[in-house]
Amino acid sequence: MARYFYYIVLMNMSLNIILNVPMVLIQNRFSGSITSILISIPLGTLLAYLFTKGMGRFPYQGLPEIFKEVMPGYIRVPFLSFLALMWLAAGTLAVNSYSYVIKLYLNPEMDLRIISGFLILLIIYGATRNTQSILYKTEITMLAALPFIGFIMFKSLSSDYFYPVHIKRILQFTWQMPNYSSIAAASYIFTGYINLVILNRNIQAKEILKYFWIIPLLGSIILAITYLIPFGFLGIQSVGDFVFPWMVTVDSLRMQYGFIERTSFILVFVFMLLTMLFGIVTWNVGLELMKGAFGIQDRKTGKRLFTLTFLSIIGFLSVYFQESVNQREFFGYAKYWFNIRLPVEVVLVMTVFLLSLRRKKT
Amino acid sequence: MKKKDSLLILCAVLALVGMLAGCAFKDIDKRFFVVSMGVDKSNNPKKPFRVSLKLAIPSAQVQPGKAEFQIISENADSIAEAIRVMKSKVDKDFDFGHCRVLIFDRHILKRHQPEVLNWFMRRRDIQGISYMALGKPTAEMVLRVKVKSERVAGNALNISFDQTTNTSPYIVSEIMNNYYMRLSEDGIDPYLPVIEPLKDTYVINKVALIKGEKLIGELNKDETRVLNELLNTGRKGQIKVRQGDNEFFVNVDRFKTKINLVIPKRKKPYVQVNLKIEGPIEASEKKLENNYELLEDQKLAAEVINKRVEETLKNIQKMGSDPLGLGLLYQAKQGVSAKEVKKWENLYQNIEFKVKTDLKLRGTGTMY
Repeated sequence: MARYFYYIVLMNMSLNIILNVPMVLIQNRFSGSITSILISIPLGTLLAYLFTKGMGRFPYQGLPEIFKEVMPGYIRVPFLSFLALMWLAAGTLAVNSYSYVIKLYLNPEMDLRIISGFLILLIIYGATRNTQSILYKTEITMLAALPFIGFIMFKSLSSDYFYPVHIKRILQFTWQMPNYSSIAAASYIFTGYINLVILNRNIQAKEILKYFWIIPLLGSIILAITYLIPFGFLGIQSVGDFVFPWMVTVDSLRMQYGFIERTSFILVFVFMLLTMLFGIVTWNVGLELMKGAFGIQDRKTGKRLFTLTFLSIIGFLSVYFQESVNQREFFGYAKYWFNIRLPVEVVLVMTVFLLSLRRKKT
Repeated sequence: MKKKDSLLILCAVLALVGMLAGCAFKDIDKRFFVVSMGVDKSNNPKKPFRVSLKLAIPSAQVQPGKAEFQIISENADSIAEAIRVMKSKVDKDFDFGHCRVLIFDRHILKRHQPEVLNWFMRRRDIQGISYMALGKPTAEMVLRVKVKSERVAGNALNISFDQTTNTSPYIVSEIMNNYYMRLSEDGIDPYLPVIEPLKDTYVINKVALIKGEKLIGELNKDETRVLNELLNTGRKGQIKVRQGDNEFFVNVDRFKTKINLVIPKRKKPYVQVNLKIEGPIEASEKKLENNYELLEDQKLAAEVINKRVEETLKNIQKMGSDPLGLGLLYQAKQGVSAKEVKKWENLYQNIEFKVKTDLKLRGTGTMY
């Protein structure tokens, strides 16, 4: 079962190639992105290790069950609901960013509300399924998407229009003071492990630790690719001119022998798969946390009233949120969310880790 | 219960299938496909942009020479405005998804280059892999050429620029994303292939060089070939060698260029160009009976190449343009700042080129 954990981690890493992480890093490219990336690699790995280790002491228990044993209600309920909202916001941000991509590249004449509305409907359907079935879907989606991601990577590294000299130039800006929002964004690459709060019910965290070296290795490679390849194509100045640098980068690639010439459509397709999956996983975790906070057991009773109303409200709010802000403000909020996420994550990891230590003693 | 569930899902799926409207609510027969686009400078100073669109007219028969198209042009004060006005001249909506070739004329590039490019880069439906070219005398005249062998309207230019179809070493192709990068980066300058219309076809064998945002000149046919070789584009040519009455041709199979900027301590920096060429002799008046003769020819050919490359590099240097991105190499070593950029500009004007060729003649074909 440990492989499902790594699928989720990998999903989180590859999804962020296109969405908001490179945006923040590229904005700060002259002021310490590289040092921030270098800091975020050990930081992300350490957090992942502590959390997985901690969860390993609570076999087949999710975060709500763990907290129920040790915390009084007045701390547990707000904390869990807050975490649930963080997860739901993660899904919303990904889906909404992706609807901007659809609006831009696939369906310019369609209303943005309809695009994100339909995506959210699908995600609500997916998120209300059983966690185990979602894990199976993760495997299918990742196996379908990975060859395409590999193909795009290979295509871009072997392209005539890829200039390694730009990467050498941006490395001239290595020794700058790191900044907080870059660290927050870069460490987000590693955050896939945090879904273990619920998935621990289905996955044994102890098995995961056997292959733990995958996380720093893959994370560093993907971060390097995410950050550096757009420079190779677009140069260090003009890369800042684009809203989705990766879409433009991949648009420089041409498939001479393919059915379609424009490689960017493959990227749109792959990220369709990944965004839906990411939305489903995060919303499912958020929903389960919320249910855990209020002790709702609808799987046993078969009544899905709470689930559906709750997710419909969140879904409506997501569409309303996208409707009420423009794209620039939206990305601003995404950045705020990154900045809040890091301390929350640290607090969560430390709580779980300390709880696991206490459990060992008694 | 299970059966009822799956029936419900089936109904839902069927209902959703009806919403798949294929062409985003506009059918393909209600669209006009723009296959190439040209931007010229008009004579009217108030409306400087003359935009021409080549519209493909679909037909049931796909036959060489039967590709029909229509050209419409409009003068306006911006490209966006011109497109909007042109929409009222035709019955259908424009679709730029197949616009693969963008042609500009000399005057518009001299003046309004960033403005023009901005429109193309911002449009999501203009592909980043669109080929760009300079039309001579004007872009519109290039668009108006009806190529005899064309099966699909506007495809001839597209195919000529495609390296997998046409490997002519005189054609330098340039895509839009790469052009934009070269334009906005200090230390590398853009170039554009020049298209001249003939009666039923085109000739593309020159390249126009640009410095900063200004068009500064053209390279001739032979220099264009050298530039192609230096850019490592994979378009391989021939080497013609003549010394006294010994004349032969080398057909190039492999051509690899490595360009290094060497900055020795307390000495003047220089550019080291290493070429690696392999190929057989294609034509020779002399019979090459012994190996030493072949080796002699090999040496001779390497010298010819050296000279050819060095002359071209010097000529490009004299024009002041830097299509090979030597400035980037300098910045990669010395750091990226306005001061370094300025230093490089002074340095580039009289930098020395050292060309070294490693040429291997692999054989003499079917004859000695």
